[in-house]
Amino acid sequence: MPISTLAFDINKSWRLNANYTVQENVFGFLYGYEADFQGLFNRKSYMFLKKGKKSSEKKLRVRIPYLGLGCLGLFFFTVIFANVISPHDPYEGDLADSTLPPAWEEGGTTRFLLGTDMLGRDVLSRLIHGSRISLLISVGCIAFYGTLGVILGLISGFSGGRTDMIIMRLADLWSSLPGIILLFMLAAVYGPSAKTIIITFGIMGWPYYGRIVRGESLSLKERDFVRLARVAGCSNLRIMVSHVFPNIVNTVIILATIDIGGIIVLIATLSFLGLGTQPPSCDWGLMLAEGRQYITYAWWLVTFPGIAIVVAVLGFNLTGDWLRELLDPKQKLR
Amino acid sequence: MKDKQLDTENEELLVLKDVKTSFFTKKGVVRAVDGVNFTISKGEVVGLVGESGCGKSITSLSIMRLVPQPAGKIVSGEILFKNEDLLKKSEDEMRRIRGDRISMILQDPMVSMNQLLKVGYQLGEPYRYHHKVSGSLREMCIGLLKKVKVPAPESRVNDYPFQFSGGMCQRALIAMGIANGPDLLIADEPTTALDVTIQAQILKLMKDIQRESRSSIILITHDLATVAQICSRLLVMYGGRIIEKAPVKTFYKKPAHPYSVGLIKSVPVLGRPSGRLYSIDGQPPSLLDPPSGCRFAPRCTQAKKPCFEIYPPETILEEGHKVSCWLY
Amino acid sequence: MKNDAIISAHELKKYYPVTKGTFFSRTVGYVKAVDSISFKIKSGETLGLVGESGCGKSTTANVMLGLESPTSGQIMFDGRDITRFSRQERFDFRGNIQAVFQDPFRSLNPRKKVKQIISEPLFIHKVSSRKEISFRIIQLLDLVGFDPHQAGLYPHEFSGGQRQRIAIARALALNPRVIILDEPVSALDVSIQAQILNLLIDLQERLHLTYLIISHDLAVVEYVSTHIGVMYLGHLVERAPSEALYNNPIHPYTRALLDSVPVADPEDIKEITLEGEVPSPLNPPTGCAFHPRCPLCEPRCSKETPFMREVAPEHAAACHVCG
Repeated sequence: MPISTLAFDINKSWRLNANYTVQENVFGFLYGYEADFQGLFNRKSYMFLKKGKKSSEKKLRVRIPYLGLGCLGLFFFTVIFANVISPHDPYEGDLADSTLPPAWEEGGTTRFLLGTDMLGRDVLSRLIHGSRISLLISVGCIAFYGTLGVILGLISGFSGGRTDMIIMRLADLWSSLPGIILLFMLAAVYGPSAKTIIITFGIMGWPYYGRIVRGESLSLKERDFVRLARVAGCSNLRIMVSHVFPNIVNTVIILATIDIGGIIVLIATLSFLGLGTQPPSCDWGLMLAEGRQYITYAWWLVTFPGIAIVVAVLGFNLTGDWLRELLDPKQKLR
Repeated sequence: MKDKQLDTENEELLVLKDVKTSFFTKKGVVRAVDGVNFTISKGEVVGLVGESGCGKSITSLSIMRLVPQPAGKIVSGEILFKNEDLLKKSEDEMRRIRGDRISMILQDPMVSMNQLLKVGYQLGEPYRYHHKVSGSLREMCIGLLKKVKVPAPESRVNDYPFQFSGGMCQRALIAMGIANGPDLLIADEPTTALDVTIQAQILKLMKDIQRESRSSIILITHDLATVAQICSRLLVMYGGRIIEKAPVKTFYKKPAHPYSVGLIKSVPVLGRPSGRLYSIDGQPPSLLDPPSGCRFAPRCTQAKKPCFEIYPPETILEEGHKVSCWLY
Repeated sequence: MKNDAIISAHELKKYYPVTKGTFFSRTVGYVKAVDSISFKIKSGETLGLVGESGCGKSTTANVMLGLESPTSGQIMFDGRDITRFSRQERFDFRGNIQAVFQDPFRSLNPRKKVKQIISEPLFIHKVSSRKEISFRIIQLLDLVGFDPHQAGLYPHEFSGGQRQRIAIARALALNPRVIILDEPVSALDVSIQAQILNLLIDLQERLHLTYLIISHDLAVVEYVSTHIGVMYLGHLVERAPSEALYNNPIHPYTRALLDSVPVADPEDIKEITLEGEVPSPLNPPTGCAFHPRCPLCEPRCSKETPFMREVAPEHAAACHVCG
């Protein structure tokens, strides 16, 4: 059977699916509906079987979180094509166009679909460019502390003993430092900016990842396949890199995906407080802060950035949830 | 007909009629128990033997109506306990039966107990719940521990489970199981997690308790030797169905089903001269959408064409010895 | 020379310190997991170690495999003491002793394909070229009864018995001379158990392997072994050819063990001969470790530790009263 005949049938949303709980059925739009994939995820082994014995009926039923993936898709679309799709320059505005309402409101024009702010800048274009800042900062933070946390967690869990104790006590100490105050300090010294945020949270965030990775590698190192790798003569580094790490990489990906949502909110909060990116940046949090004083007569200045944050966070969280289920090896065993 | 009369004389305690329990998973329907019939009489010790994944544990959970929700469901059949259908009872009525009339002992003694509560407290739990009394019931618990031969029960009541060894824990769990004098005790692999010398002690204890209390026991195990030691009758389960029912003595002398024969031959026996062990080739069947024919046919050396197509009916070989196989 | 032991242990000890305090810890005592055990295995033979949980049989396996270093004692392999090896020597030596562990669901890395699992030792030791390795994979899969096309699958696509075959294939990759089998069939179903045991015996004959098999199941050990050692609380209490052990057990613990193995025969109901439980290794009894449970206990049993004494050729037991 050629791979092109990819069976793809979506369960009817109005019919209750007996395989799922009521909750999963009712909130199907959040969890996503189930689709049949034939030979998509296990294409390689499938081909192998075809060559050898009879092609076994390999079926993988996977639910697809359409809402989550849709939100995420929209987000990444705006990140990638920001320059192409934004109708105006996000930083330039004409004061003559100040605080125009969205196109469908009375007095709005189709030139500015979502209206303009008090400096006459296009809200839509600012939102589109704001997605880049959100992604840059959140991914920067997570790449920074994720890497640090994974490396320290692996070393800690794998070597055990005194090294483990020192790293973990360091993690305890670290978690007790107040991050916001450190950010205030750094912002005071170096000035508030995206770089300051990335560095502060990059330094502050690792204990969380470190603890989880340590826990996982602690249990993995007792597993028989690690003992067998020793018997075969593997070095510690090789065991860590090729046996322990691949078994925790899923956890890290899932953590990171869910974390990004949280960090986007955090960045918005910081910008709102004036600790994050500075004007004329088009960060969503900053847009909220700027629009706050005009909320009584220019509701679009706070509403649209708010919606943008919700969409991005929802996209990352739902997808992260889905990844957790998909990448769980037990899922495949069933 | 004759068979049925005999059973009534012996006072049927538990009758399973065509019980089917399935698990509705994302990959399809797993027919874990696929039409199981058997009868347990009063005061009888019956062994339910099978390999992992053959449905023996799910059978016991079906009797207790504790099949894991929401995936698992008892699809059809009747479970008559003292002539009342357990499947028609409400959850409230079931709760009154569980732990009082039917109780259960599980495989791993160390995880079957709550590590945070004293052994004495946990021992009294079934009695406290079913007789609506409160208090520590210290005297009763000491009595129970004495019954299961735990040394120094007066001080042991106040211990926590982690202070007990594996064998001791299993004794305490047995004590918990018999606290209310149940009519039926289901023991799911009670000795598998224990050492050989402790195993022998626990089996002896169960035998003694059964003799004293006259309650029925269903012993679920993969180990044919354990069954031989304490059961009077055994049921062999394979692929979600019971394929052979026989009195223990008949079974070990003249096993009928090719699977039973292979099972007995494939266990290494102490003192038997070495040589190749008999082995059943192939793997146990998947219960996910099983074929309509005999489940054992793909591994059976004597399988013929009908074996793959139609499930064999139960044939009576002699008094109490029934087998589901086309060879008979 | 031909009849010499290929691997032997002399007065092997492994003590674990019991410590108090976290950072500035001090040792308050020792758990004697393995206490002065000695045995030898001749090439092509199988030694079975039996005992109840906590008797030190798995620790013995770990020490023999070099996963843990012994507190004292020697392990001789072909006349060389492997406990005194340098790092490089140990690495080069690895291929000679390989292992198969109990739980096939835990002993294979779930993220690797079968061919990666089997060929890993070959890659580490850089013994052959890439082409030779893929040939060797097919050869190894064939040895344990697999088709070559199954090499690209992941472990979770196999059942327990098949996974144990994969583990055996991996152990064979470096052409070892000794394989240590730690409860190789305990996690498997009865009908699969027989398949694996037969495979192990076939491989032994074909490849002239030497086995050290460790199990709690006396029947399994007796079936595959030429010699059996019985362990109790870290001590080796009896050592004999398997027939002699079954027909003429000396040590009271061996006798009790043999008596308590349930038999699949309703005419042969066992009576328990052994009361009580194994004492904690943290606080073992003085003298003979078995004396509190021993039916033949004499006053001196609680004072003097018995040593191994030969009662017949190759048959030794550590007991004051018997033998």
